[in-house]
Amino acid sequence: MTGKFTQHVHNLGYYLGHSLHTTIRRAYHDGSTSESVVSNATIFAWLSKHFTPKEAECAAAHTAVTKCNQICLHTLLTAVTSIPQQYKKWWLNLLQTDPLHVLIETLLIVFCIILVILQRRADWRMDNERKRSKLNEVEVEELLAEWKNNRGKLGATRKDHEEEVGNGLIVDGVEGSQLSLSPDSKLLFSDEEGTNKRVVPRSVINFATHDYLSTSSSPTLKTMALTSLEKYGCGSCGPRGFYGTIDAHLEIESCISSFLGTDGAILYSDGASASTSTVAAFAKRGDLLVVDEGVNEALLVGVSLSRANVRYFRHNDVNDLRRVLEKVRHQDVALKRKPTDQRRFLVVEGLYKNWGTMCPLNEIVKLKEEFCYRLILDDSHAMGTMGELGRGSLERCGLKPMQHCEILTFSIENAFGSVGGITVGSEEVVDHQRLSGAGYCFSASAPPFLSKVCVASVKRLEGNLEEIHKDFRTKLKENEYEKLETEISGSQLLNKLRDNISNLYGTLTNSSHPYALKLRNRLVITSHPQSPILYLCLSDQQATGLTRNEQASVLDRIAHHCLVEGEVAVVSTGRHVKKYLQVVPDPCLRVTANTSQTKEDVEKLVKALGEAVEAVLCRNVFGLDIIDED
Amino acid sequence: MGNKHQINPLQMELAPPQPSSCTENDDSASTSTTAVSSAPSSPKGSLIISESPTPFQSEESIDDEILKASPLSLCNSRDPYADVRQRMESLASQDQVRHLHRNPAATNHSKELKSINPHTDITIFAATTTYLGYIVLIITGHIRDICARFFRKGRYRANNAPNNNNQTRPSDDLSNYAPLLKSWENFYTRRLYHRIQDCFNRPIASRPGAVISVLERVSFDGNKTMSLLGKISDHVEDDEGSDLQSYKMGKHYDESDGRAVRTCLNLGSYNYLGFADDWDVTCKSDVMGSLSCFPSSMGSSRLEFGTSSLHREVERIVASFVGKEDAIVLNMGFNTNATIIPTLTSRGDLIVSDELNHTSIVNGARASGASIRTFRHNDDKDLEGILREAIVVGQPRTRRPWNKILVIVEGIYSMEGEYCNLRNVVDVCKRYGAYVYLDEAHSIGAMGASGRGCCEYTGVNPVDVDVLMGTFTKSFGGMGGYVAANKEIVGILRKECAGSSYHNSLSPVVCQQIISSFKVIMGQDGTNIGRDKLTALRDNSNYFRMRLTDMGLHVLGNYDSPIMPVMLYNPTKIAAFSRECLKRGLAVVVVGFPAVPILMSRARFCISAGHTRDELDRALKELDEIADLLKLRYARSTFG
Ligand SMILES: Cc1ncc(COP(=O)(O)O)c(C=O)c1O
Repeated sequence: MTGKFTQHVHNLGYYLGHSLHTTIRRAYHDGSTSESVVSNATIFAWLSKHFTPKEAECAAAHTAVTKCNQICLHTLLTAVTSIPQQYKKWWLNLLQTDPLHVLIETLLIVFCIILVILQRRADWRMDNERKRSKLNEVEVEELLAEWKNNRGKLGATRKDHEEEVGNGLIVDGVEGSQLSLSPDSKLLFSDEEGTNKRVVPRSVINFATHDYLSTSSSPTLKTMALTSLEKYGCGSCGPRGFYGTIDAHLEIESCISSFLGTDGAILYSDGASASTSTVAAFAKRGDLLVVDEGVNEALLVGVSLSRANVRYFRHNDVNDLRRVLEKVRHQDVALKRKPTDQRRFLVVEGLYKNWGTMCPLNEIVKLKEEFCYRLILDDSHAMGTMGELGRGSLERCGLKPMQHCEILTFSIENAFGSVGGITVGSEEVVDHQRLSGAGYCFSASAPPFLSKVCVASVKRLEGNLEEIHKDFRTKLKENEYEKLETEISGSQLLNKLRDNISNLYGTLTNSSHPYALKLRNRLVITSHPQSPILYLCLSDQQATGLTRNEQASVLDRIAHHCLVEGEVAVVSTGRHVKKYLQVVPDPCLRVTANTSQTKEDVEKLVKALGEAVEAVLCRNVFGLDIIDED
Repeated sequence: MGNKHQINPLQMELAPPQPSSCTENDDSASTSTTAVSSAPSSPKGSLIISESPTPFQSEESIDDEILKASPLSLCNSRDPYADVRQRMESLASQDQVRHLHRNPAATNHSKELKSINPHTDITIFAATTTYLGYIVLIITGHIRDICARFFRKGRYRANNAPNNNNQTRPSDDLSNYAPLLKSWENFYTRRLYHRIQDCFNRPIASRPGAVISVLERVSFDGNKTMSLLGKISDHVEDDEGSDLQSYKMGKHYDESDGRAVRTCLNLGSYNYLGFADDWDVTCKSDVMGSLSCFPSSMGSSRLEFGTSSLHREVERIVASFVGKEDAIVLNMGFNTNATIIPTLTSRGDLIVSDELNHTSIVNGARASGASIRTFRHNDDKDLEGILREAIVVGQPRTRRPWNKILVIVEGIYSMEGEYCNLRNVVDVCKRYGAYVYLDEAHSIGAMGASGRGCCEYTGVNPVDVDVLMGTFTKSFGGMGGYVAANKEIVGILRKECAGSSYHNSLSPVVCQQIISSFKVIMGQDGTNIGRDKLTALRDNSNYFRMRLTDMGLHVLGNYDSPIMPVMLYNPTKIAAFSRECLKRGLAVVVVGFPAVPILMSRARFCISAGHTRDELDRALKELDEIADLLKLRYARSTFG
C-alpha cells in the first residue's frame, strides 16, 4: 500500500514537472517568434492611434525592453493554468488503469473534509458556550471576595500533628559524655505531678546526639577549629563556583577521596541537601528508582524532585526487592524495552537513621549486578562508625565504593563532627554534580573552618593525629599540646565505640540486671545489635490499644522522666511528619552510643530508663487512663 | 506580642544613617568639583579624586578611637566620593522613583538613566554573533567527537581514563547499563563547559575579603581537569617555561604557603558588608570564644538536642531586626527554602513565583506538591492577572477553590541586580488575599538605610509580608538561613519543617558570627562601624554602577543594589572577559548558559563595603581597557 502510494506521489510530481517543462518550452518558442511580433505590432498600432508619433515610438521602445518580462509572465501563467488540465489528464489516465485507488483516495479526501467541518462546528459550539458562561465583572469580583474570605490559613496545623513537639531543651555545651543544659530550657511537661524536680538539670549524660566519635569534646578538633578560624574567618561568602572554593574545601575533598579510595569527592554545605541533590542530579524524568521504603526524608525529597519513576520495596526485604526487580524485567519484555533505555538506580541507606537497622548490602549488590542497576547508598550514620577502619557499611560488608556502589553519599555531621555532606564516586559521578548538584551550585560553600575540622576528624579516624598536631606545636602552650597528644584515635577509637555499643546493648538486654528487668516486656529493642543508634519501642503488649500519638506521648513522658529524674538524655521519636516519609516507623526511644560514655554512664541510663518506665507505665502517675495495668 | 505594628526598640535605638551624613563637606566638595560631575561625557575626567582636604576637615574633631577601630577607615567626616556625590545621589533617587513607581516620566529627566533590558536591548549584531558562536562551538564539538570515535583516541574516551586498580566496574559495561549521563548533558560539559572551566570554581587561599589570593591552576589535559599549580619552583626546571614563566612575570603574582597565587581584587564574593575584611576586629574574639563552650557541630537536629542558647539568641535578634514576632534559623539558606516552602504549602495550594526565582525556591515549590505558576519578572500587572484568573477558575480539573495562594518573590535578584517592586506586589497580594513570601538572601543587610532589607528600602511594613526569609551567607559572613513570621507560623515551622525536625542544626560557632555581625550592624557594639559599612556599601555600589554605565556597558539592575551584571552576550567573551580580568588582578564572576538564557551571558560584580575607592578606580580603569579590547560598549554602538 505504502509502496503504491509513494509511486502515486512520484507520478504526480513527474506530471507536474513535465507539464511545467513543456509549457515553458512552448511559451518560449511562441514568445520569441510569431506571437510576440504580432503583439508588438498591434501594440504599436494602438499606441500610434492614441499618441503623437514621438510618444508612441518611445512607448514602443519601452515595450521592447519589457519584452523579456512579458515572456516570463506569460510562461508562468500558462504553466499554472495548464496544471489542472495536466492533472485532469493524469487523473483520467489513472482512473482507467487503477480505478480502485482512485476510489480509495476520493473517499479519503471526502473523509478529511467531513472531519474538518465537524471540528469547526464543535469549536464554534464551544466558543458560544464560553461566551455564554463568561463571567461578568461583578461575578468575578464576587468570586474574588468570596475566596479571600474563605482562604486557608498560612501555617495551619496538620490534623495528625497537634501536640507539642520537640523537647524545648537548650544545650549549652558538651564536655565528654555530658551535655550541659541551659536554665532557659523549657521542659515539655513542666507542670506534671510525679516528678519531684521541676528544674532542668544542669548537666545530663548524652545518649541523644549523633556525635558517635565524641568529636565535640576532642581537643584536636577544637584546636583545628580555632586555628582555621584565625586563618579563614568564618563564612565563605559565595557558592563554590564563584570564589567560594577555598583551599580547605579542596583539602577535605581530596582527604575523603583518599580515605575511601575513590576518584573524587564533592562537598555540600548541608548533609541533607547532599543526599537530596545527589539523587536529583542523576535520576531524571523517565529513569527508574527502586527505593527502600524506610529511607530517610532527605533521600525521599531527592526521589520526588527527580520526577523519575519510583518503585518501593519493603524495608530491608531482599525478596521483595527481587520481586520488584523481576516485575520491572517482565515489563521490559512486555513493552519491548531494553534495560539500557533508562537509567536505573537502587536507593538504600547503609544504617537506617529512622530504624537503626542495617542494610543487607551483600545481597543488594548481588541483585543490583544481576539486574544491572546502579546503587545510591546513603551512609550518613555508618560512615565513621561501621567497618574495621570506620569506612562505613560497604567496608563492613567487604565491598568497595565505585566498584560495588556507584554513588555513595554521607553526611559529615555525625561521626565527623562537622557540618555538611559529601558524595564520592568516580570522576564522572563527582564532576557531573559540580554542574548539576543543586545544593552544590546554588548555595554558599561551607565555612572553611568546618571543612578543616572534618579533615582533622578523618585523620583522627585514620589514627594520623601527629600529622595535624605538628602544625599546632608552635601555636600551643606546652600543657595544652600534651593534652592533644593523649587523645585516642584510629582503631582505638573505633574499638571504644564498638565496646560501648555492645556494652549498651548487653546491659539493656541483660536479664539479671535489676533495672534492665523492668524494661523487659515493656520496651523492645528494634535496632541492629551493632548499630550505634539504638531504638526502643513499646512492646506489643504495651502498645495494644494505643494510637500512634498516644504511644508517642507515653514515650515522650519516659524521655522526660529520664531527663529530669535520671539526668540522662534520650530522644523520643514519635513525631514524624507523615508527609515526609514513605513508611513511618513506630514511635520509639532513641539511644545513641558514643565513645566517651563510660560503663557507669550506661548503668545510669539503664537505671533511669527502668525507673522512668516503671513510673510512666506501671504506676500510671500521669493519669494516662489508656494504659491498662494488671 | 500584641504590638505588631510597633517598631521594636532595637529599631528605635538606631537613627537611620543618612546617605549624606556629611552634608557640610558635601556642599563644599561638590561646588569645587562641579566641573567634573557635570561632565559625564568624559568618564576619565571623573577619575580625578579630589585630594585637597576640605577646609572642614581640620576643624572637625575626628574621633580617633573610632577611626582606629574602623579598619575600613570610613569615617563619616571624610567622604571619598565627595566629587561625584551629587550626581550619584541624583541618579540613585531618579532610579528609585522610576523603578518603584514605574514612572516613565522619570526616565525623560536623564538620558543617562536608561534601564537596560537585555532581552530588548540586545543588538542584532550581538544576537547573531552569539548564535553563530554557539553554532560553531557545537559543530566543532561534534567534529571532535566524530574524530575521536574514528581514530579511537581522545581525552574523553572511556578506555582512556586511568582506572586505579585496573578493575572493570560492572556499570562501565554500557551494553547492559544506560549511560550515567544523557548525551546532551555530557556533550555540553565536555565540549562547551570544559573549554572555559578555568573561569569557574577558582579556588582561593585566603578569606573572601576585598582582596583575595586566587590559587593558580593549570590543566595538563586540555582543560578536562584543572589542578593546582603549586610551587612555581617545582615546575620551572622541568618545563619549557613558556606558560609557567609568565606566572612569575605576572604583575599580581604572589605565593601563599608555597603555592602560586594571584592577588586579585574580589568583585565576586557576596561579602557585601565586608565582614570578611575586618573580621579580626569585629567578630573574631566572640566567635573564637564561643568554641570554649560549644562544639563546632551539635550533631543533632533543632528539635532534639541541636538547639543552643546561641541559636535562640540569633532567632531573637533576627525577629526583632526584621520586625517580626519570631524567627527560626536552619543550617543552610538553600535548605531553608527547600524545606520551609513544602511545610507551608501542600496539594490544593497555589504557589505563584517570579520567573527568575532562585533554584532553592523552585526546589521547595516542586517538593511541596502545590500547583506552581510563574509570573513575569517583577511585573505586578502580570501577577494580578494570574491571581485573578487562578482564583476564579480554581484548581485544575476539580475546579475546587484553592486552599491558599503563596506569592514568592526575592528581595534582590542575584543574576539581575534588580530589587523587587515589593510595594506593588504587596498591594496586589493584599487585594486578592494571597500570602507573600519574600526571600531576602541578598537584600538583608545590604539594602535599606539600616540594612533591614527590601521592606525598609521600599517602605513596606514588614507586617504586610507574611513570611520573611533570608540567609546569613551573604552580608553576615556566616552560614544558614532564617525564616521570620508571626509566632503561629514559626511555631508550626519548628514542629513540622524537615529542616528543623530531621536535619542537623546550624553550627553554634556560626551562630556566634551572626550575632556579632548583627551587633555591629545595629551599632550595639558601641562603634559606628556598622553604620559606616552600610554607607560605604551603598556609595561603592552606586559609584561603580555609575561609572560602568558611563563606560557604555550594558549594566543591569538598579542603583542602591550591590549587584551589577554587565552583559557580555557572546559565549567567547565569557572566557575572554574572565581571563583578561584575572590577568589584571580582578576576580570577577561570569555566567553563561544554562544559568542564564542562551543569549544572555553576563559578568557580575558584587560590591562590598570593604572596597576602597582607590581599588574600585583601579578596577574601573582595567575594565575600561577590557571593554575596548572585547568590544563591550553595547550602549554606545551596535558592534560593542
Ligand atoms: C535568593 C536566594 N535564596 C537562597 C539562596 C541560598 O542561600 P545559601 O547560600 O545560604 O544556601 C541564595 C544563594 O545564592 C539566593 O540567591
